[in-house]
Amino acid sequence: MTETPWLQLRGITTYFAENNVTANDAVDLDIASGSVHALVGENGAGKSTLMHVLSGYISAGAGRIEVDGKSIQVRSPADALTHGIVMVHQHPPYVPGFRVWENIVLGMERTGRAGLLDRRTAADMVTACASRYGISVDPHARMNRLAASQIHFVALLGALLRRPRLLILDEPTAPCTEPEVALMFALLRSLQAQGTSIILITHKLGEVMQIADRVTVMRNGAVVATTAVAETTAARIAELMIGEESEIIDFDRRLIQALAGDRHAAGVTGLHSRPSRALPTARDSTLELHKVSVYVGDLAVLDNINITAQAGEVLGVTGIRENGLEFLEDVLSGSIAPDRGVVLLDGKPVKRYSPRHFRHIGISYIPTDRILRGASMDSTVAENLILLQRKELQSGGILRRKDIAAFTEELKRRYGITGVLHQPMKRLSGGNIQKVILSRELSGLRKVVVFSEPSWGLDLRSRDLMYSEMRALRDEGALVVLISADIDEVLSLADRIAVMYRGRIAGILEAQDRTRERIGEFMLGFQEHNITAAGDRSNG
Amino acid sequence: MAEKPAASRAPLRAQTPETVVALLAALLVTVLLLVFGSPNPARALRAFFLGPFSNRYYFGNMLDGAGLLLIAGLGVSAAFRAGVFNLGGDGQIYIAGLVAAVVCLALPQAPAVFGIVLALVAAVAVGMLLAGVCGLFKYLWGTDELITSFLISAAIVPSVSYLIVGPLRNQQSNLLTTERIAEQFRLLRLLPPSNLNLALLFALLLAPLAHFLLYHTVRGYELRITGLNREFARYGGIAIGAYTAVPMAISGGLHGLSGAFAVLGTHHAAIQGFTIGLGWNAIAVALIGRNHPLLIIPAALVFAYMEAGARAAMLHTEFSFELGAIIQAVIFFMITAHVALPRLRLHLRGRSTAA
Repeated sequence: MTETPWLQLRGITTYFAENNVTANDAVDLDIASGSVHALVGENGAGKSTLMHVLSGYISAGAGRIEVDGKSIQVRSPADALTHGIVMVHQHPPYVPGFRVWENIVLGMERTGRAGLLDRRTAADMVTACASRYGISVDPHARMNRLAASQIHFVALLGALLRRPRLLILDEPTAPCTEPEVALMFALLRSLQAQGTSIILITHKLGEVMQIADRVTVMRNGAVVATTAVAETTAARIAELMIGEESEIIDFDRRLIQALAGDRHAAGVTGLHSRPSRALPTARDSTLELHKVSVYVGDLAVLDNINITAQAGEVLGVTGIRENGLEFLEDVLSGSIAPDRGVVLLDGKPVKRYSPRHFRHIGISYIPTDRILRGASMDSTVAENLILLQRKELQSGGILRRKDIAAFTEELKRRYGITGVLHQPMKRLSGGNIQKVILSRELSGLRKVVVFSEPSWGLDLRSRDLMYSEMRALRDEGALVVLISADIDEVLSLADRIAVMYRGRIAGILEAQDRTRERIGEFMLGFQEHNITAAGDRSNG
Repeated sequence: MAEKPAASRAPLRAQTPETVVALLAALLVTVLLLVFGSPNPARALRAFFLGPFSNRYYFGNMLDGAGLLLIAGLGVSAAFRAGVFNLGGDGQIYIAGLVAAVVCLALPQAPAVFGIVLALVAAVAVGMLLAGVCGLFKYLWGTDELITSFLISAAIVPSVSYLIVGPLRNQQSNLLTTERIAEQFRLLRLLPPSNLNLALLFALLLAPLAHFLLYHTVRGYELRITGLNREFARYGGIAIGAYTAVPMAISGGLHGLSGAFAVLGTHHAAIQGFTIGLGWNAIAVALIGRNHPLLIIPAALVFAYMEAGARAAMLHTEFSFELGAIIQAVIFFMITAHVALPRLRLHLRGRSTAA
């Protein structure tokens, strides 16, 4: 891409007084028209803040934005839109009860006579735009019925209808399955061909190499480097993201290798210095799902599931989202009771299906939904940390302040949680929220630990901490279940891998015969009838 | 964290100034009403601002009103804090007042302590029952406690009024009232001739106690966690069913206590409509105090002051009774609009996505 830059950011500086953070420090950025520009960096590097400035959601303290060499003012998203700048957020906001088309036209309603919303035109417009870009979504579906990835596509559709000259996408592929990623990339290429510029914020370097023309690496609020993708490697980018002055440089080197290459081939074992242990780990437990089925209406979302996991192993469960992983998560955590079948711990059926009982019998659980289920965002960090130990930290019903302070300080130190213990949880970054959840879940008896999508949205360091914890648990003899739609994650961590397809276990792969390709075949249902491990289906 | 736009944490940080803004707005509208609604604005304003401090009688009555508001306000926040809503406070206070009066009237010869304790227990029990039942229904069948508590209260208010003006009426009095309770049950007056009595001291002890229970005990911790994020509480193994019914019952019990003190301390009889509005004003007080037990103390004082000022303006000028009521309504609206609506919207949104 050799065109003159269409958009220029010069000296953008954003300072948040409330927590004394300089999120952007004199950032310069050039965007050529019709290019895909990737923006990478660890959590908290300032990528999203910069894009929020560009799209008018927040205002920069200093700096200027130029389009075609002319300085422009972007005070609101509406200002940004007049210059053709549209952003799709990482978690697109939407009105739950609204239909898809209603959400899309929100803010650009065309009214007919008497100020009434012209429904048919609006819905038709949405359908036309969707089919032009090959997106399949029912314009009349209710938003709260959609999967996370579909919500992303709806948000993208809304952005496209506004005919952007610059489309900013914040982690657009995070909730997507592989076919959806392919669809999204095809869409981005066709936009690019029409002259639309795209800024792509992502954690996935493979995607950068695949789709981007140029890449800008940010670290601690500043631009570290901007380079053409053709002239660099994923390893070099990873190196730039982490930084070379880091004190734990040896760890970073190996991590960089691991990330740049095939993650599971390089192995991520024991990179992180593991926190020391004070609490016991149970051994010899078994966890079994016996003929477990869950129905939503007539549909079996879990269909006759039979799996057994042993102490000292990591059982991976993978599959494309919407094939039952989320229901398996709910059954294994006691959040829902199976309609048929039982869950057995150490050979005994569990007495009740409630998170309370499951905790009581020793099943810890790190949920997919960290904000709603895994944390209380308005409570303090300390209050989040003591949730499971509240009974141990009291005498006669009264909380022991000193012991709580010691306990929470200890967890904070051991897991390297950055944040103030008496501040609300919502002040923490995504990586630190997950560290709080992890440290809390491992603060009790470690017997069975269920991890669900543990590395979503985490940066490299936090992800590595998570992985080394998981391995350590297994080596100590705990039973670990890893539910993850990320094949690479499951391949690198799990001892055995169960693959789900349409609510069934399509296959269980042992160590010797697992490859990406085999798993992929099971995920897509090609292999279903050949397998032996799926168990008795006679009453399913 | 730098990655989220600052807007995500704006609502909570902005709450303290917003409360102040709401109070100032209420004050401003009140002043405007006094200036334009009264033939003698200077006198009305003087009465409004200085009236509550002009003599022992007004001052004591203001403090007495603050005490009752404080207890009921703590009751409102007990439910709020657990994420449930008790909108039936008005009816709970009213019927508890009647029950306290009836207990005392039934035992005119009983020793003081015995009668007082029995009246308090009975009043608290009836409040707990009425609110607790709404919490229990929510737990069992998911009925909306906001609606049930409001409806039950709406049915109770006229029923209690009927009992006071009908079967239990004191025929010798010109007022629509029950007979006065026996001397020994009346709480010690602190600032005669005003109504101020021992109940205020009790209320002032109750607030720190509530603070201790909320912030220093496991149950308080569990209650707050449940109120802030039910799903998280459930995930953490907290028995969230219990934290639906029990806080409602506690809320009702505190409202009941407030009603009992209105009889034993303030009025010495159950008079028709004598506590009407107290339950609603307590909601405003809890909101001004951000549901924090210790902040509810100044909130109750400020609210009682504005209420007493409005009453003084009404009595000392040609200001009509209706305008006095309008001022109270304005105060209530301003507070709820600024403080409660964002919370309520959040609450309702939570419900619709959960469904």
